[in-house]
Amino acid sequence: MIVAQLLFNGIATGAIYSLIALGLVMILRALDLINFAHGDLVMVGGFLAITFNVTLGLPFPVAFVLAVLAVGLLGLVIERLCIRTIKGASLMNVVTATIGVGLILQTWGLVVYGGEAIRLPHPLGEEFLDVFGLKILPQQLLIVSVTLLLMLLLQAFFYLTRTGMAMRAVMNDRETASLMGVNVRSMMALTFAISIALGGAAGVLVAPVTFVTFNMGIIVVKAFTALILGGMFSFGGAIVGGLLLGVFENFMRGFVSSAYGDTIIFTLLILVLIFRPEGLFTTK
Amino acid sequence: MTKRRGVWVLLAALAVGAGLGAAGGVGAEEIKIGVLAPLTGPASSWGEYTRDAAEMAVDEINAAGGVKGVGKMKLIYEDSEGNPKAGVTAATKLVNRHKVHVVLGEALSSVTLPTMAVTQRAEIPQLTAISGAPEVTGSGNKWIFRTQINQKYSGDLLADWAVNRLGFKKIAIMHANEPFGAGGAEGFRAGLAKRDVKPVAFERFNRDDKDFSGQLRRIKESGSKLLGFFGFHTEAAIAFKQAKQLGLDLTVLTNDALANPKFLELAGPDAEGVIISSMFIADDPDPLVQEFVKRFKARYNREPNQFHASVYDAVSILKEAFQRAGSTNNVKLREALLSIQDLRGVTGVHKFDENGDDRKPFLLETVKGGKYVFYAK
Repeated sequence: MIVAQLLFNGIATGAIYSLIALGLVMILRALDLINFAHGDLVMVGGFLAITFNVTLGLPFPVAFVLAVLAVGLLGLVIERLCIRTIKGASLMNVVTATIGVGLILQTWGLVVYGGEAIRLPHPLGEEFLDVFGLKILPQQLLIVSVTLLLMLLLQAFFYLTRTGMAMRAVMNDRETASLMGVNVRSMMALTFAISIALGGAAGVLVAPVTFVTFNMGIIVVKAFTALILGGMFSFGGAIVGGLLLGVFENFMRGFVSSAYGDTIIFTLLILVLIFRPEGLFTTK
Repeated sequence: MTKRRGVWVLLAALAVGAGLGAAGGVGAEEIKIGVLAPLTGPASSWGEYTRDAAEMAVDEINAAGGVKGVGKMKLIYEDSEGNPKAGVTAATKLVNRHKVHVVLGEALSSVTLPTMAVTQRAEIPQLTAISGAPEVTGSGNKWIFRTQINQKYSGDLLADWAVNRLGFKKIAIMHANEPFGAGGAEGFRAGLAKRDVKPVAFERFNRDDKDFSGQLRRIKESGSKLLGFFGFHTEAAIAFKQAKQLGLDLTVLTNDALANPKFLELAGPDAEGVIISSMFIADDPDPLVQEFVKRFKARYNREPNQFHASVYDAVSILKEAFQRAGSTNNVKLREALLSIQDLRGVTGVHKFDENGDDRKPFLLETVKGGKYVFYAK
């Protein structure tokens, strides 16, 4: 029974990693950039949801949508101010700029919300649901289903709308897309904003379970690991990599050691980088 | 020539100035209390408790004329960020730059421990109101005092309660892997050993961990129904929910790190029924306590918790000690602190032993309906 419980918990944790990793892949493909501020935008999503839901008393779904939109909007601003203006220089400069943005956001979190963890109330209550002997927190169901929903919406957007198709074109081949008349610049900005909004959504979803702290952005390291497991450039890889990492992590902690949990995970990461740098699922 | 004369004039002026400063000291000296606390960072709730309680105490003392024969009290803050390295820098600043007469703090044992070396070297008394790790006292450092309960003693009380009053034989321990958590766990384990009980599970976790399924699975397999938990509120809140999810039905005994309102906020229903060793509870009918609660509420519009009470008492103790010392002299102040053997405060009757531990009696509280309530004495 404990195996099934850990498996389920792993999927719920992994869904969060997938959501963050998915955003990282989109940015990587559209902008050739690793966004080190990504985790801190997860934190911003969590804190904004607390402001909307707790301070302003808005219902959870409204708070969720507002927080995600606000983070997306912030993404547009960051793209305009810090990425596009520096982009001409070298890639390293832009990457460094994202680290700087991350630090600014952390300081903002620390000053505005303080150093202590803050909890977003469980929108569906915190009584466990008993499903075939598994104890499931309503929030875990919400995490899994909202993640699934967001992924389906993203898929529909990419394949059914003109803008989505243009974005895919930019991610696949920027020059050709530009020759076909796609406005590459605005597609890049939009991709950045949507990616970051996904991270913000992850922050809101996880806030009732592991709370929000100014330094929670470190979760991005887990998403990078998921990304590397999944092969860096594939959407499917990021999703599967995230889920796999979540499940693996829960089993490791459950059956081997909690105190060394992260050490084991990062050892795995290094092994993958050495032996399968193209990721576990990529065939070449 | 003129340049040289200028230097002499300057030196003379400085000498006169220094002399005036010293001469003006009789009864009107400024007592500089260096407050070392986590004012920012993840432990900032303790910084806030320290500041609020210390300011209230000092305002009250100064409004009543300050310390008789010595002077008025002044608080000088340095931020430890709840981090040992920043804490040592802050302590050094208090001692060297601000020339404080006494250091009040730090809250976290992991920060108090390295900062004690700074005050010891400078031979300045340091009084912590919140650090409970056993190794803070008893190491031969003559300059450290505390109003917090040494976890050696709270661990013994909790063990007695677990074995003799609640009647548990299969007991598990889980603690944060740092001085405060380890100290609590060792104090509890020693208390159990004294009563011929060996814990059936002994688990550690790290600060900022978000998953405790491994430790909890082993505790479940050990068949234990009682958990001695020694760590902080954020990890406790997550761990207690996961314990329920993994099907554990545990009675939890813990020390005052969880007597922090932040714990109630984060853990919600999972805080119910946790039994906590503590120095103070706001619903204590003692008139001295009720008078304090009333004044605190009037000033801050909320109830004081035990950390507020402990810091408040620490400042009152300092007032008494400076008064007995009759000056700000470090050696006299230390002797005066040791001479305190029956001073009534809001956390009990203070009585320092030769290690600098306050041997006041303490109590147990529990969480009921989302509030801390009295449990037993």
